[in-house]
Formats: sequence, structure tokens, C-alpha cells
Amino acid sequence: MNVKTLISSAVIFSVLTVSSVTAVQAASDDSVTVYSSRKEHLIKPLFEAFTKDTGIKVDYLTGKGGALIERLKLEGDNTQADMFMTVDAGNLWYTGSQGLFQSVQTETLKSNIPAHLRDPNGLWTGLSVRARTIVYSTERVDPADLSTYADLSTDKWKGKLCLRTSKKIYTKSLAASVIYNHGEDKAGDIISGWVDNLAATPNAKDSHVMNAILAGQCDVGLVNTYYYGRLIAKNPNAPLKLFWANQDTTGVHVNVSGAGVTKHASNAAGATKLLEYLSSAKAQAIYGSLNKEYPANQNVASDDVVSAWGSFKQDKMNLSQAGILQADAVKLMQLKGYR
Amino acid sequence: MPIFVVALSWLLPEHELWAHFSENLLPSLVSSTAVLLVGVGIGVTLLGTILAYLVVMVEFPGRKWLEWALFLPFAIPAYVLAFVYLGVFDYSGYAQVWMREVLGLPGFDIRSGSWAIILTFVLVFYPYVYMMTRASFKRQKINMIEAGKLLGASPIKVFFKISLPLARPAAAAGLLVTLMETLADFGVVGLFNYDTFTTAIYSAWGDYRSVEVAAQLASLLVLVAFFLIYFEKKARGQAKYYSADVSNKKPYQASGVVGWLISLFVLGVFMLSFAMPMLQLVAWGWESVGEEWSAKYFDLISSTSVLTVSAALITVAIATVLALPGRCKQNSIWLSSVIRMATLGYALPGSVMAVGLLYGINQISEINIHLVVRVLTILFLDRLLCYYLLMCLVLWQLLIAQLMHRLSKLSRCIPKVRVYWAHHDYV
Repeated sequence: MNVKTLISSAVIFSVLTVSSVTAVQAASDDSVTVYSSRKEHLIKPLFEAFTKDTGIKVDYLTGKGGALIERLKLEGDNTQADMFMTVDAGNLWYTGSQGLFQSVQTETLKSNIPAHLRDPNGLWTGLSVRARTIVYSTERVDPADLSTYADLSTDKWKGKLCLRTSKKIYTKSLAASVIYNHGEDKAGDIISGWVDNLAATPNAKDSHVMNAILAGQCDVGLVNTYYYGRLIAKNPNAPLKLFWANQDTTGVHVNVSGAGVTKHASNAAGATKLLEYLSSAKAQAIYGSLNKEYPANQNVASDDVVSAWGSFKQDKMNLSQAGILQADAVKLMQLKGYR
Repeated sequence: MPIFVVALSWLLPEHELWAHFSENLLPSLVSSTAVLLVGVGIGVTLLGTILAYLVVMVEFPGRKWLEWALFLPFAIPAYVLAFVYLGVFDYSGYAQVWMREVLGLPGFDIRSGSWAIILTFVLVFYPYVYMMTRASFKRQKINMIEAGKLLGASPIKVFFKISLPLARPAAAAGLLVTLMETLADFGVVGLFNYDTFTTAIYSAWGDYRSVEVAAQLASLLVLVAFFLIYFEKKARGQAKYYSADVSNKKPYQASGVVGWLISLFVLGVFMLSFAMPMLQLVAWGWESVGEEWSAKYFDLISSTSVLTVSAALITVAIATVLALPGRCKQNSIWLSSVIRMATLGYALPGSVMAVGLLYGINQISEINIHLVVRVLTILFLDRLLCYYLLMCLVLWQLLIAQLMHRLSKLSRCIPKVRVYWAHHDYV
């Protein structure tokens, strides 16, 4: 085989491979196309219900959030996406700040979803709520000793705290809320205090934080509640409980998964309809049962398992702040040595 | 192109962010990255070379199958192995629980410090050095070792005075690949929460949305890669040791206790780096197969297979093209530096590759959008491609070196034959 043949076969192979991978199915005119960083099993039942009720077909493509945002940017007005769906308010805010969403402010959305879970300019809407709060060992901690996120930075928790890495988005959004509620100086002290109290290098996952508490490496930690839900489903007798932080002050830090209609949507009307549907009582009930999250729609009751953990006061900080303050939060954590 | 774009980024300074990185982050990142590289480098070189020497030069119980079994860790991605080790050996892992509860030892955090992550990298990447040095030991002339033995040198002395110097170029090549893999890793360091240079690049890009600073940091990483390649070339020197005499006879026979101890050591490495993690993965898989398994996994498996096979074919093709001119005498400096540059892609973390390509494409702009989407897709192939590219390149160079050696032997004979015939003509 000579060099020429080799090169040409390499080219043919790469073209074949690439085209087979990028084949995105062509969308029909009245269908809605969604790019989603939420996993397929969490969105498929919602889209199926929407199609059943309205007759509008939903095509979707799932992938990593960051990659999908880059893709939206690169595709510009050629994009097939009518809606982009992702987790974390910081990600939603960033997508909006890049001019990839269009403003949608309908009465239905306003009445279904509380203002702090929506972008002030209507660029995106929160659809499910996840709370990040304190988890503690029922064997070694008296819940009367627990109070706020800031309290975990005091000396009484020295060597008893486990945290998730600062590199994960939920930690960044929580730190942003600490900056929002306390100002940068005080927030810096709180984060320093957390780092001083750590019993172990920050963990890669919330589930690792809870395992560390169960193993006795530490006594308290901060986790998203649905991770706790998964652990309890597997191990109902685990000596772990959730504590609602900041109930006498600002409330539990919440985050959302959400969606927005893309700037260059070819079917903006259909996408808006889908967004409204997702905020409706029917879809919100499905949301709650699928991933042990809280419905964003306050008129919809939580799933039974989730309700058993008790009700709580939410932090009313508008979640766009999680995006606006994200870079400050990261910088502060890096300065204070929170890995 | 990524290297070019990344180098250009210095024209667009972002002083404030750069100051934050260089003052607050870089000093500790540079030292933690250096500790990691030195530790992993020493570890893989020792483990890979010793294992290769044992399976090639010494006959011990179980040698035949262990020689091949030691390649198997190649099949487990680094971060998967790291995940298993954390699950088993971290504070809440059953190994530590057992140590605390049965042996009464104090618990510890294996993610603090750097020994555990170094050990993980060593167990994942030793096959690179093992593969290269094993091939090199196999080609060593057995009579050189026999001569050493006859002159009264101990096996250890033979190893250090004869075998090791001869295997040095191969070990350096394996080491180079290992260090580049370590430098580019994001999965293992993420799980251990160990900050390296790569962490800073991701932070600049992901947290501060600054492609410029990410690219500037990346260019420093590329400098390190250049240095490593230079180091490897130096280590290889002018030496091109090869021999076509392959013999299956082992110079040393380890019998009795020594033989079993060697078996135990090699088996231990195999158990720790492959058998135990595999069993653990199967156990975890078994636990969740009921709730997780669905038809979508067939799709995932088929798309993985398509990607793997086509990436492998493309890579072998490109690597062959790149490796061939390397054997030609009249190699222009231009051509050989292009080839070296082509393999440099290996040293770039996926992020640098993406920064370079995406940023470059954005600047060129107005390209047919479908083409851009395709390029994006190639990004996912890219790392895989570079990975195989370098391995194939090194292997092909060695193979072709062998072949050339044989050919040159042959061609040296040909003139003699001609002279002989010419001589006879005159008679």
C-alpha cells in the first residue's frame, strides 16, 4: 500500500465516521427540538406526556451542558434547537448572558413559578428545585447544635466537616449565595472556617460525603437532598438525617434545573407551549417523582418520600445571582484554599 | 493548529485574571504537578522495567500467562481504576473499614498527600514501560548476558550493567507516554481532588470563561511537553540498540522459594492493577444491573465500537504515514519537525485541544456551520487519535528499525556476491 492510498483511506474513514456520528435527525415543522443536559430518563416521560396531550412531537438531543452551550453558540441562527434545558442556575444564567435565550414572560409561567426561580428578564425558567442543606450523623450529632451554613465554620465543628469539591457547580452556586447573603469579606471568613474544619480532602461527589459520615470520618456535611434520597432508598436504616439550614435567617440554599426558549428557535411558539406545560401541575408532579426533587410550582405537592423530610423555607435570592456571582465565588474559594 | 492558536493567545493578555492565577494558584500547582510527574515517572520506570526483565529473563512459576496478563490493565481507563481504588481503599471503603475494625489501625484519608494518587497512576500506566522494555529485553542478545554470567557477574549486576543500559531507550519512550498521560489527565485528579496544571486550565475556561488565559496556561503545558520530548530524545541519545536474535531460552531459572516469591510479586501487581478492580466492577455492575440495564446500552455499545474501530484504523493509517519517513536517511529537518509536532498533540489535554480548535474556528468564522459541528465531533475523537498515534509511532519506529537492520545486513552481502561473480568472469 503506498502513501497516497493510505492517506486517502484515512480521509475516507474519518469522513464516514464523522458523518455517522453527527447525523441529527431532521425535525418536522411543527415539532419542538430540545437540547438537554438532563439525562434522557428524566425528560422522556415529560415529553411523552406533552405529545400525548397536545399532539406536538418533541425531538431531543442529550449531551454535556458545556458542550451543548458551545454548540448553540457555533450553530447561531442555523440551530435546530427551539429549547435548551440544563441544570444549575449558573449554567442557565451563562446561557442567557451569551444571548442564546429569548425572553418569554407569559402569565402562565408567572403564576406557576415563583419569581426567584425565574430569570428577571424572562430568559429562563426554573422547573425543578433541588435544596442543598446539612446532612448529619444521627449517632454523633445533636440536631440542636445545628443552625446555619455559617455555623459550620465555627470551632465546634473542627475536624468534623466533610464537603464536596469546590470544582462542582452546586458548591459554586452555594458559595455565590453565601457571598450574596453575607458580603464578600464575611463570606471569605466562612469559607476559611469550613476549610479549617474539614476532616478530609473535599470529596468528588455528594454520595462520597455521606459515605464518609457513615464511616465515621466526619459528622456533618452539605449535600443536595436527592442524593440523600437515593442513599436512603438503598439503605433505609442509614443513621443519617437532613437538617434544614438557615431556617431562622435566609432559608435553605436552593438551585434549579430549568429551560429557556432559544434565541434562534424556528418554533418559538411550540417551545413556549412546552415550557408552560412543564410548569403545569401535571408535569410538575412527574418532575417530583422522577428524581426526588421539589416541584418549582408551589401549588404542587412533593413526592411522598420527599415530603417525609419535612417542609422548609427557601432562600429567596433570585437565582440569576448564582450566575452573576459565580466567578467571584470561585475566586474566593481558590483564595481560601477550598479545593 | 491548537498549539499555534494557544501560542497566539499571549497577544491578548487579561492582566487581572492572569495575576490571580500566577500569584495565588500557579506556585502550588507547579509544585504539585512536579511531585506527581516525578513520583509517577520513578514508579512506572521501576515497576515496568522490573516486571519486563523478570518475564523475559527469568523462568518462574506462572511466567507464561503472567507475561500476557500484565498487559491487561491497558483495558481499564485510568479514572475507572481510580474510582475503584477510592471505593475500596478510602476511609469508607471496606479495606479500610476492615483495617480499623479488625486490625484496630487508625483510619486515614488516602486523598490527602500525593502517594495514593501516584500509586494509582503507576498501576494504570506501568504497562507502557512494561510493553516497551519487554520488547527491548526480548531483542537483547542472549550471548551478551551469558558472557556476563561467565565473567562472574551476579544477576543484579548483569541487569544494571548490561540489560538496563540496552533497554534505556525503550524505557524512556514508555516513560514519555506515561508522563504525558499524567499531565493531560483530568479524571483521576478530579476523583482524588488533586490540583494540577490541567485543573487551572479548566478553571480559567469553565469558571472565568476566559479562553485567553486558558490558552496561555495551556501554552505553558505545551512547553513542558516539548521539554519531555527533548528529554526522551536525550535519554535515547544516538543509541539505537537492536538485535534480530530472538531466543526463547531464559538466561535465569528461578526455582524454589525465590521462584515463588517472584511469582507472588508479579501476581500481586496483576491482582492489584487488573483482577481486583475487574471483580469489583463486576460486583458493582451486578448490584445495579436490574435497575439500570435497558436497551439504550446496546446503542451505547454499538456507537462505542464504531468509534473505537474507526479511530484505530485511522490512527494506524496516519501513524504509518508519519513513521515511514522517519526511517529514510535523507530526512529533511522540516519533515522530521512536522512529524514531531504531529505527535505533540498527545501532550495536550482535551481542554487545550478544544480551546485551540474552537477558538481558532471562531476567528476564521463564516465556515459552513455543518463543517463546524463536524469538527466539534472530531474533538471527541481527537484525544483517542493522539493516544494511539504516539503509541503506534513508537512501535512502528521500533519495528521498522528491526526491518531496516535486517535489510541492511542483506544488502551488505549483495556487493560481495557481485564481486565474487565478477571475479569469476575474468577467470
